[in-house]
Amino acid sequence: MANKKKTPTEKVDSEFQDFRVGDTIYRTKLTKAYLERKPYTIPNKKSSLAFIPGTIAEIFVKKGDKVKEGEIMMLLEAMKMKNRVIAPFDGVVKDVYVEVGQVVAKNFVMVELV
Amino acid sequence: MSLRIKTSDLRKRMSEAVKGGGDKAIEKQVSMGKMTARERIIELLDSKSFFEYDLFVEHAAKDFDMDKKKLAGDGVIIGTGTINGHPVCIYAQDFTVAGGSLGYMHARKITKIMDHAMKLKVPIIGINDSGGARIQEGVNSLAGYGEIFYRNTMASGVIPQISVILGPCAGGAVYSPALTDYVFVVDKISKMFITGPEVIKSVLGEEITMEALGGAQVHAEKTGNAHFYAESEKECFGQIKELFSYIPWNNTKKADSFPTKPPKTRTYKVNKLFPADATEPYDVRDIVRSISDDSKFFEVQTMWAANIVIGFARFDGDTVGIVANQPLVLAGVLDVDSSDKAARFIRYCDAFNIPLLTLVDLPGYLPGVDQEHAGVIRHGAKLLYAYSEATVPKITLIMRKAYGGGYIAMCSSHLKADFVFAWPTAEIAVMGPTGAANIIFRKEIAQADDPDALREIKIEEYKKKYANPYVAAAYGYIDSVIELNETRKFILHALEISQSKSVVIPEKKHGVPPF
Repeated sequence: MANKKKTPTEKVDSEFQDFRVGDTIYRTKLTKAYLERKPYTIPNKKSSLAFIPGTIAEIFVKKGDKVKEGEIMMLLEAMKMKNRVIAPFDGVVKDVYVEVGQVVAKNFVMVELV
Repeated sequence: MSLRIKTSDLRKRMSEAVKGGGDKAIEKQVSMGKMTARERIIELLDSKSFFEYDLFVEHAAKDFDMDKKKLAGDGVIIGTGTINGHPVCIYAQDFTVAGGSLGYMHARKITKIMDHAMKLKVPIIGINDSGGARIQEGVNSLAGYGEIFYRNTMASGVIPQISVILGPCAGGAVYSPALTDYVFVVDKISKMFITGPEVIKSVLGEEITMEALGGAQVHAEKTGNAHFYAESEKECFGQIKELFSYIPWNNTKKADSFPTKPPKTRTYKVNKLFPADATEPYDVRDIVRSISDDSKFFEVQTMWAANIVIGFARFDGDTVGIVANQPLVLAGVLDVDSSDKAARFIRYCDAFNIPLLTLVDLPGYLPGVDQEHAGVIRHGAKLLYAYSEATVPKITLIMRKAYGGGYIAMCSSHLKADFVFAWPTAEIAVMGPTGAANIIFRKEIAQADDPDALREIKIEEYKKKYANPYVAAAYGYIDSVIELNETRKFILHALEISQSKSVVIPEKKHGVPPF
């Protein structure tokens, strides 16, 4: 596509944006990939996120239950495997956000502890 | 039987076989905006140069009543011909025959023509248009793919391998194109993915169209799997022919030489195109055009990782591989994708005796958690590896900024560039003047009555002293500081005297690059 371009690029100022690298600000175009990048967020250990998209096969805890570290809270079925969702620490179930049979996307919050 | 009858029998058999999947299937193919497999071969190759083999091959499937079916040529056409007068081996999957599905004999035909290409030391072109494995042939179909992948790998760096995706290319089948040198895609026709939309929906509940998942645009812009994007099959074939004018026929040859033509310097005035201020953008492709033969530049992967530019140009009639930071996009930073893009192109040029010209103007690596977590260390290292390993003539031109790791990575003299030229606008330093002054004079600035004023003074001081090519030139890291309009002269001379360059690398089976 761009192979067809035979004349020097015209400068269209509005296309350019400020872009900082180190302590210097450059005028340049930004790419879709750059604009769509996900900002980093500090992971919240209290929320169990679906690490893979899948289907909730079984749930063993409900709101208000006490759980021990290592206890299986639910099974997330993905790629023909039943993956155990384990309590990361001793705590109380603040809420369960999924039900059996529900299809969850990656990083969906399934259960939260306090 | 007389000769006449035998000949007419042959003709009858041939006319049946060349019909592929029959009129109805051909009609369907055409209604999708696609040419038939045979039309594609004829369109791509030089006129009347195509010779076909294995036209009468039949499939070997016995189960699921397949023995009662006849599949013309088993869904793939193989043969030889010429492009720009040079020999090539070619195969084209025929979607009109059982959806171009790959069975045992289908794969055998492909591997046969690949073996020919390797023996004859000529390029292999694969036109992919297939629904995937022929399920009825089970493990034999998988075996077929494996045999193709092995040959792709063995042929890599020996003969040019071109994949043209003109239909679906799904599942394991996509790994053959991925192993080849260049992948061509056409808008609305090409579709490549490992798992298709149906599987993704049933397993993961994510809904996506085939086009959005693995269409031509996606692979040309987002994934980097494709190297050339066209809007029609005809345009695509034109791109293939143009590519073949720049590359050698095998790894022992040089690409064709063309009559030399000066650049169109009235259109591409480097003094006008190039801003001296390191923070201002410009299109580096215009700089290439200001020095290349006839101001031509054949770009590869135009849309993906556009912050680096790769492609072919000619100098004094001979092909040169260009790698250039693109200040127009993300200020020309290096990142995961641009490192991958450039590194693979450098290894391609090195494998096929194409000298490298590197144009440098970058602020360094792209900062960010996403880049670090995506493995920018590992990906960035590919660039160092590829440049260091390359033994073809390596010429580097530092135009403006060359800071820190970016300076080293862009074919510096330390990675054994043969000639490093710099324009007087070059700034070779560990980092930009502002950052450097802030660190070096931190205490002084902090203790000053007016820190901001002192900072400005110190930045200016640093700029004057270090933001130039002369510090590096004083150590001999730059061979010549040259005026802008002398560039072509220096490059032509460097290329001319590098023609019999030979470098001995330590004996090894192969390296272990940071793939």
